[in-house]
Order: sequence, then C-alpha cells, then structure tokens
Amino acid sequence: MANNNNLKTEDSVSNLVKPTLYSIYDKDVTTSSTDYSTLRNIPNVNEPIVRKEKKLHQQIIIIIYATVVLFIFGNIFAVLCNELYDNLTLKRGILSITLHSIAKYINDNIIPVDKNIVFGILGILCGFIIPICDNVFFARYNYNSNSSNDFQSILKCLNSILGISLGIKHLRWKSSMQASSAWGLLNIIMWLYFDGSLSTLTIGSVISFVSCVISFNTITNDNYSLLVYIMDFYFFSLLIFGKLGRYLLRNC
Amino acid sequence: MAKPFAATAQFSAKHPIHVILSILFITTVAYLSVIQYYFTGFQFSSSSLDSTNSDLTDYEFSNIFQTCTHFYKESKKDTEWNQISLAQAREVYSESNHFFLYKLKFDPKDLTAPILPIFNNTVFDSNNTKYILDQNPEVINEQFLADKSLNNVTQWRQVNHQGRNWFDLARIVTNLYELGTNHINEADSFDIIIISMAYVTMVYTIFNLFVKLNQESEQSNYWLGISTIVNSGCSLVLSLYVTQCYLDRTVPVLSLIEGLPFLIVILGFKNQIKLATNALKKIEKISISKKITPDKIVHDAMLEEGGRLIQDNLLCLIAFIGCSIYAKNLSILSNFCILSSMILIFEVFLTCTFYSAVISLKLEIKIIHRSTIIKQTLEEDGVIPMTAEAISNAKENKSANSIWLLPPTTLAVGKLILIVCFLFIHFYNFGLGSFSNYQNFVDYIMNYSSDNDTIITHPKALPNFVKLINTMDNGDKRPILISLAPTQYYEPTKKLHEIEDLVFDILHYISTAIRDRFISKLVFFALIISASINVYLLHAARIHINYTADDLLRKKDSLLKKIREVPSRTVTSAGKKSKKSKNGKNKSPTPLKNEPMKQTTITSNPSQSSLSSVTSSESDENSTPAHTVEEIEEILKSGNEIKDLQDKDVTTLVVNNKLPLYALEKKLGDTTRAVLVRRKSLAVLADSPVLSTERLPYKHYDYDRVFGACCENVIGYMPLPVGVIGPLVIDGVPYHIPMATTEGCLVASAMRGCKAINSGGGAVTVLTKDGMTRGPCVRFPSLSRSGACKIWLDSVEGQEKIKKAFNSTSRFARLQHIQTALAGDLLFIRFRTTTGDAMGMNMISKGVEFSLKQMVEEFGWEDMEVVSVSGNYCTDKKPAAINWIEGRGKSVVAEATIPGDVVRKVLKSDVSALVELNISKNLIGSAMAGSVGGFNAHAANLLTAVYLALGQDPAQNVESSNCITLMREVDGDLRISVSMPCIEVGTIGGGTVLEPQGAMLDLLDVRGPHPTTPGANARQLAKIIACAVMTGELSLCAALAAGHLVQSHMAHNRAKKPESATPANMTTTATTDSTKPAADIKRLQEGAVTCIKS
Repeated sequence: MANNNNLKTEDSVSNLVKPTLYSIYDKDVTTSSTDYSTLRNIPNVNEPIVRKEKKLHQQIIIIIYATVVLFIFGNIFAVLCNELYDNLTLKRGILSITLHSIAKYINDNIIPVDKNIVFGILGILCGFIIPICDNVFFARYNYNSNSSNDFQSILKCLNSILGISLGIKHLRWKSSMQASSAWGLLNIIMWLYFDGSLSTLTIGSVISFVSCVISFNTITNDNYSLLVYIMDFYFFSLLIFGKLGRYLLRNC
Repeated sequence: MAKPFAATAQFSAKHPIHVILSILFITTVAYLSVIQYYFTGFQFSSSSLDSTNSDLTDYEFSNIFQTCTHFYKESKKDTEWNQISLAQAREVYSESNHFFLYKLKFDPKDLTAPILPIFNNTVFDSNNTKYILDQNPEVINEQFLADKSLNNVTQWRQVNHQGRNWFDLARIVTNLYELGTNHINEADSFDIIIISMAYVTMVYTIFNLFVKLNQESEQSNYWLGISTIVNSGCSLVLSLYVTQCYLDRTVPVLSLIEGLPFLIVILGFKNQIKLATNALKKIEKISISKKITPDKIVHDAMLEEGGRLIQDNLLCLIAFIGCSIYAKNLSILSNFCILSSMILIFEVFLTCTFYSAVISLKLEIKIIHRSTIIKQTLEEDGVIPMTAEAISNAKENKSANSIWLLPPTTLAVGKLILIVCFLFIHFYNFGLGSFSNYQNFVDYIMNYSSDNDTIITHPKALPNFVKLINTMDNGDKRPILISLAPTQYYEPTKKLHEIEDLVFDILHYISTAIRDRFISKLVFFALIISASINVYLLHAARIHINYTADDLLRKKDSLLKKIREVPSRTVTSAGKKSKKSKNGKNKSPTPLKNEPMKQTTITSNPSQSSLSSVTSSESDENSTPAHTVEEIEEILKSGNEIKDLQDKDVTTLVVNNKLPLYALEKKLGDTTRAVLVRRKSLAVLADSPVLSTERLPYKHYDYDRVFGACCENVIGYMPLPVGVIGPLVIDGVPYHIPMATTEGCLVASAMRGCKAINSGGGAVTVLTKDGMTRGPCVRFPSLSRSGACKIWLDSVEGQEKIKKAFNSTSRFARLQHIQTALAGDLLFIRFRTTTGDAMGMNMISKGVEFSLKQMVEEFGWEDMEVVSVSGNYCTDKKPAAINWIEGRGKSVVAEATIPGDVVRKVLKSDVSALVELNISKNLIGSAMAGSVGGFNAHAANLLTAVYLALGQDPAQNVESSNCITLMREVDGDLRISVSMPCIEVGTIGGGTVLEPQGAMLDLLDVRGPHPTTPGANARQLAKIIACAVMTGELSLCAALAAGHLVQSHMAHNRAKKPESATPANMTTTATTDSTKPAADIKRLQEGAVTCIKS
C-alpha cells in the first residue's frame, strides 16, 4: 500500500492497479467479519440424513415385541417374588400377596382371567410407564449421563436382584427387619448406580407405596418388615422394568 | 477429581514395563499366599509354629500328614480309637508313637497271575488289598522303586482313584455341582438357577468385553481383552491377600464361588473398555504431525473416562462399606463386603497403573505401525528413501520425549520376555506350591459324594482289624497316633504309563529343583536380570532410533564445527549485514526498508539451518582473498573435500566449470549452503547481481525436504501471502481453509461466501469417484493385433490379469478399471486406480510400467511396442473432455442452501437474479464459448489458491478446476451446487512434505496418510476444496448479480449519484490511505458491469 502513495489516483490507473474482483464487489466485502457465535447454532447437517423415520408398521412391531417380552418378564417376576424368602419371618410366597390380591381383585370385580395374564399385564404396564414418563413428564431433565440402557446394564440389574434374593435367603440375618432395611438402603445406591432418573424414582416410590397399601391389611403380628420387603422388591422391580422398557422401546 | 488418577496413569504409561512387572510380581506374591490358604490352609504359618519338630517341618512329610485322617489312642489299654482333627494331631504328634496306615488296592486288570509287591509291615492282606503300617511315609515308594529294578515282578503304578486315568473332567464337574448344591443350606432348584444364571451372565460379560474391544478397530484387541481380565484378576488376588493377611477377615471359598459372578457382572468391564477405546480413538484422531506420546494420550483418556470409573466404583464402595458396617454381626456378608470394597479400591488403582501401562504399550505399537506406513507411502510416491525417512521421523519425532519409536522386533522381543517372565513366575509358583496341593483339592472334589460311601478315600473310621490286632506294641508307652492315608490304587504298568511317568518325573524334578535353596535364589536373580535386560533393551532401542532420526542434524553439526574453526572476526552479525547491504550494488529502492526485517528474522530465529547459513556467509566475508582455481585444485588434491572449502572457493570452482551446479548439494552435504553457493555462482554466471542480494529469500528454509523430492537447482523460495477463509461448515464440521494468492479481494469474496453458506447450515458433499488415471500409448504391427489387444483388455480375463499385475506393485494402488481406445494401430489404455492418500501419479506410473511389461512378457503381446507411458489419454495437466466426462482423481459434488434473506442481506443480491445470472453466464455463456468443463464463474481462482497453500500440484488446476455450478430456487431459498469431477489432491508426497504446506494441511486436519482408512484424508481434502470453490462461485455470482441490480437501480435516479461520488473520491484519496479503497469501491461499484473483464 505504501507504494500507492506515489501513484496518481485517476480512474484508469486505479482500475489497472486494482484486481478485477474489487470492481465487482461492494465496499463491505473486505470488512466482513465472521460471527463465530452463529457457528454454535448451526444444525448438524448429517443428522437428518442419518436419522430414519420409523414407519408405523415398524413401530407397531417394536411395541408388540416389547409387549411380549414384558409379559414374560411380568410372569418371571411373579415367580421370583414367590421364591424370595428368608429363614425368619419372611415365608415363601409371602411377598407375592400384593400381586395375588391385585389378581383377586380383578377376578372378582372386573373380569375373570388367569393370574398369569394379570401378572403379565402388570409387567407390561410397569415396562411402558417409565419410557412414557421419560418423554411426557420428565422430558426436560437430561439425565442420560448416569444411565446407559444397553443389554449389558439390564443383565447387571437382573443379576443384582438375583444376588440380593440369594443374600436374603442364605445369610443368617438377625431379624427380617435388618435384612429388609439393608435392602432398602441398597436400593438407593442401586438406583444411583443403575438409573439415577427422576421418573424411576417417582414412579418407583409411588408403586412401592401403592403395593404397601394393597397388602397392608394382610399383615399380621405387626410384621412390618414385610412391608419394607414389599417396598424394596417393587421398587427394584420397577427399576428393572423401567430399564427393560427403555431398552425395548429405544427405537420407537 | 480424576486428575491425580490421570497423573498416575501417565506415570505408569511412561514406564510401562516397570509398572507391569512390579504389579505382576506383587500380585504373584499375594497369589502365592492366597492359594496356599485356599488349598491347604495357613500352611506357612502352621509349619513355622512347628519349627521345633523336624518331621512336620519337612515339606513332603507335612503334606502327606495333612491329607490323612488321624486316630488317637491315649494308651494301649484303651479300646476306643478317637478320630482327631489335623490341628489336634499336630499337637499330639510330638509326644506320640506315630504310624502311617496305608491302604493299597491292586487292580490286576487282565493279568492272569499278578505278583503283588511284598511289604515288610503289612498288617492285613486280602484280595488284592493291602494295609501297611509304617512310621516312614516313604516306605511304599521305596519298595516300588526296589521292585522296578527286578524283571520278573509285575510293575505296578499308582493310578488316580478307581483306576481312572488322569482327571476325569465330567466327574469333577458333577462333583463340583453336588458340592455346590449341598453346601447351600436349603439347596433348591431356584438357587441353582440363580447362580447358574449369574455364571452365564459372567461368561457373557467377558465375551462382550472382547466383542466390544474388537469393534473399535480392525486390528484385533485380543491382548487388551486378556489384560483387562488380568487386571481384574490381579485386583481380586490382591484384595483377597489384604483381607486375609492384614484385615484378618477370611472369605470362605463358597461365598467367593457364589458372590464373585455377581460382583463381576455388576461391576463389569465397562469403564476399562471405555478407557481403552477412548485412548485408541484418540490415537486415530490425532493427525501425524501433532506431538503424540502414549503417556499423554493415556493421561487425557483417563481424565475423560476416569471420572466415571471413580464415580461408579465410589458408589459401589459406599454400598459395600455400608453393608459391612450395617451387618457387622453377619461375618460372611461383612467379610465379603470388605473383600468387595478392597476389590473396588484395587481395581481403580490397577486401572490407573497396570491397565494404563498395557494401553500405552498398545498405543506404542500403533505409533510404530503408523510411522512405517508414512515411510512406505512416501517411498511409493517416489520420494527418495533418505528424505522419506527424514520426513517420517521428523513427523513422529517432534516432541522432546521422543522415546517411543521402537522397532517392532525389539518390541516383540520385549513382549515375549514379559510373557515368559509372567509364565515363569507362575510356573515357579506352582512348583513352590507343589502339585500335591492342587492334587488335594482335586482329590477332595473327585471323591466328594453325598451318597456313595464306597469311594470315600478319607475313611471316617479305622478298619476293624486295626482294633483287633495290637501287634505293633513294642513296649513303647507313648500314646499311639495313626494317620490313615487316602486309599492308593495300583495297576500294572503299561508303556503309555511309562511315558506319562517320565513326563511327570521331569515336571516333578523341575519343581523340586526350583524349590532348592540355591536354585530358587538363582531363578529369582535371573528374573531380576531378565527384567533389567528388558528395560535396558528398550532404552537401547530408543537411543538407536534417536540416532538414526537425528543423523542429518548430526552431519550438520559436524559441518558447523568445521566451519567455525575458520578464524573469524568477532563483529556482530547485525553490523556486518547492514554494511553488506549498504555496499550492495543493487539498484532496488527497497533495501533500506528490508533492513530491519532481515535483522529481526536473523536474531529471532537461531535455528539450525539459519545458523549454519549465517555463519558460512560470515566466514566467507571474513576469509582471506579467494584462491585461484589452481590453488583450490591443489587443496583438493591434498586430501581435502569440497565441503571443507570456503564458499568463495566453491563458487570459483562452479564459475570455472569445475563443479556442476546440480551437484552442489551432494558435494557440500549441506543443502542451505548449496543454495547459497548456487546463488553466488549464478550471480556471476548469469550476470545477475539480484541473486547476490536477499530479494529472493533463501534463509530459514528446510531444503533437506526439497532435495530429491520437490525441486532441483534450488536458489531460494518464493513467499506467497496466505489468507484464510472460514469457518466453513462442511458436513457439519467447521473448517478454516488457507488460500495462497496475490489476487486482492479473492479471500474476502470467498469469506463472504462462507458466511452465506454457514447461515444456511453449511455445505453437504458427496464423493462419487476416487481414481487417478494414467493413459499409456502402445502400438502393434497391425490393426488386427491392436484390435485383439483392445478386446482382450476389455474382457474380464484381461482386466483381471492386468489388475493382478498392477496391484502387486504397491501397497496402496488398487486398479479399478481399464478403459481403452483405438486410433489406427495405436492403442490407448486408461488405467484408473486408487492411490491412498497420495495424489498418486508416481505410484500409478510404476504400476502401469509393470503392467505393460507383463503384457509383453507374460500375457502374449510380444509384438506390443510401448510408444509412451503417458499417451495423453490420462489426461494430465491439459484440458480434455475425457476428464470432464470420466473424472480423474476425486469426483466431488458439493451443495448448499442459502436462505433468501441471507442472499439479500449478506450477498446483497436476490435469489431469482442469481439463478438467472447463473443460467446466462455459467451455462449459456460457457456453452457459447464452446467450453469443456468451464461452466463456472471462477473455480480455478479458488482452487489454485488452495492448491498453492496446501502444496498440491498447481499445474493440475487445468483439469481440477473443471466445474459446473448450478443454482436454483427452492421455496424462496437459493440452492447452489458445484460438481467437480477431477479434483487431483494428495495429503502426502509432493509439495505436502514441505513444512509450511504441511502446516496448512494440519489446519484442515488432513495431513499425512489416514491412520485407519487409506485415502480418507485425501478425499476429505477434495471435499473441502469443492466447498471452497462453491464459496467463490456463490460470492462472485452474487456480486455480479448485485452489480446488475445496482445498475438497474441507478437507471431510475441517474442524476445525483455520480456527482456526489466523484468529489468525495478526490478528497479521500488525497488525505488517507485507509478510506481510499472504500471510496474507490463505491465509485467502481457504480460502473460495475462496464469494468468486468472476466
């Protein structure tokens, strides 16, 4: 630019010295600056290409598949809670009074069906409620950081409940209350470790409370440890069903 | 929170072998103790208690002693034998009369007349069963040994229980099952289902570990999976050791068997997998020219993933510790919880140390692999090996801590030593523990049975006859202790058994030999020596590698020293320089201006090459007057080399035709000095004093990379201004694209295009083809032969054969297709091939030459005459329709959508005007001009600027800038696309080897070969270039359309504008520089269309 001082500023000279492009552009072209903040708002172009909208029939297949799996799991859990007992006050089959009273209620008041069907339907409900809550009520909380819903983590969950039931069975607990409250405390950690989502906590608390209420009148001899057991078991079951539901409906 | 852990990981990654060895050693010690406990109880401690007793301290004796069932009788008169425990037996052993009672069962098999061995102390003998009562435990073996020497006696050998050979796996499994089920208090099927499910999931978890690790890369991560398991195993062993020996909490085997699978499944290997994959991904992402050391990568990976690891383990730790405190009175649960928490702590610790060390070893291998690839690519691309080595080494070796370049062989040896060490320690351990210990366990399991008493070898009671006969009383008043040994089964020896015995004897011999006091120490020292040799080898390898990498620098150093030996005056270089430039004869008006700049560059950059060149020029000035040619020849004859001469003398030689210009580099050995001498010589030879000035720069340049790769007869380098455009979002990733140009406004206009494209969400690209071409021309004696050859080449067989021949010439070149054309008897063959990340002309030429040679020699075209390896059918660096139609190099289409209001605000134009202009100018205009591939506004402008900045071949802009620009209106928005069928780029070789060009490739993160998918970097570069072209196209077309708009706008109010503009222009130009261009542009804008020259 310094050399330009010596040059005359007539149009023709100016035109010769200046690159062609200058003549085409407006004056702002050299002063335009980049707004880096807009970069952050740029949508990822790849995403719409990669993401495929699931067709209706595909979604239906997924839902049917999930329903079947959850139905089976509902029955498995009925068996599991039947098999959960300790060598003190918790007798075999005592945990399933909640499920049985629900089945009885339905049989008496609504429609007579087999117990297993009721258990299966309960399993389906438990499995679907968490993903629905995730998307409806708790959509604004982004808590994916603490939970990964892969097959492995479901296996982990299942194994931990099996391990707990084994522990309840075979350890020589002082009292049922000790075992049940130990499980209760463990449940909190398990929730943090496996899930950590608000929807599971809320629904789990609600369900364990409801199951508590349902089986309250069957309690005899001030056996409140049973109530704690029921709360523990149904909370943890819901945690597993929630994970299962999220896993099965992840593509929906 | 993860910082201290990351620091630990980094430390371990720096010293992988030390860490791995020491951890394995500690674990082995812990393992020894743990295994002793679980299989034989606290043997060490108990034997040390009995140190006064010589018999029980004897290892063999003690072993036999504790496998026995013990019976005790206070005195002879007592009729009752009391069964006592091992501990009680130990107590009473010293003051009692002790006997071993052996029960030997002989199974004659098919022998008709078996001769049973005769023992001295046989107390009972019936039907092939003998009971022997003796005080010496060795008596039976001695008798058998004695029998072995006799020929006429049947040879017997001990077999494992019930005459079954070796381990009966099925029995072990079933017995284990029974053992497991019976030990559970209420063994019901549901528990078994639970435990077996836990085991199944555990197996799945381990399987999943391998699957996940292998998913991450094409290379097998088998060893990484193994080491993950070893990591967890080590933490288990260490925590078992700590809980047993320091916390004094013992965890029974049963609760381990029940609890561990749950623990493994719940903890999983998730975090280890994440850590490993994170580190592996990092090394893939990091481009070659960045400083990489495995420890840094491990550190970063740990920093990212460590938080999660610690969080998970902390949660579990809280749960377990809480459990153990809560259930204090349940010793089994609390002990297991303590063990689990120890496992968690050790797992975190070992992941930071052991696992990090393993990962760093793995990364090291990858780095070595990569540097080899770079070297190979460069060599294939025609760069001479020395330069290739210099480049590949320099790229990897930049960091000060460049110790990670190990040759694969050394590393393999290191790994082998490591594995051998590991195995040896364990073998040693097994030897020390003696096989018998394990045998006991197996015995226990083998003989366990809930319902079958007949095979119990630990009888619960003494046989009746012992109670009946009390013959062995010989006046000894001491109480009697009888140890009933497990039943031993014998059968006649067969040939197979002899071999088996031999093997077992050898193993036994080795194990006893190792246990020897002297040998055990020797082995230990051998271990230490092997470990230190290992470490020493690693260091030696590093030093060696460093030496070869710095070879060139060393040469320079030595040269520098020699030059410095020439006496010189101690005057500051700055003063010298100014004097020199003042005395300079050049007529340029600029030397004074250049002066300060020159000084700063010299003083601020004391790099190797600049130092050498400055010193040499100084010494040149300071030297005594130049010698004559004869004198120099005399000096040379006296044994001196040309590089020992002064620059002036070398110049004299060159000027007098005694030394060719091209040979300067080789003769002088210093490329920068060669450039200087060449300039001086040319200044005389070409009578061009401009070369003796510094107007064409030559200092501070790495000519080593130029030599043999980029240029010959180098006299300096041409600096080009480099601008940058961006960020430009391409497929979701923002890029800053460098452009070397001397055309003003080009960068600014592209910048505007970037802005517009970004606001529409960025550009999307599609790569449709990737294949470099070469089209040789061959001739046949007759047209029919040419035709036959063409048909053969077009046939499947011909294509396959040529492909095979072609592909054998290179690692990267893969022939895609052969296209042929006939012109008279001339046959043109167009080879199209992938070339990895190199532009690939050299690579493909090599393949073509070989293929043609094979055609003549092997495929039956002896009469073929190769007219030219390049028959212009490629077509390289010439405009040709074949490139436009068929494509050459990378064929890329880029597209972007610009919102209508952005077109109006940023581009100051109008969508419909742009679309119309594009049709009229780029499509119809180019068609009218008869253009081939020129359906664009100024693709070559952008493309060449980027090519120059990135070290691409600028001459290839001819076909590379073939481009059709299309625009259309979509819902009020502008959709622009550029289709460029022949972008010829490479990210390795050619001009990219030079440091500045390489740096600009680094800016785009595409330098060098792609670590995993060869060619990905070059393809990405092609996409970036297409998008850069699109910005230019968009911007220029918009400006042209805007010019049209301005003009039509002016038609309405023509009266005012020119008058007001001109005086303003006059005043501004007279006053300031900065406002002048703005005014100019405003004025010029008005006459935009009339000024357009393009």
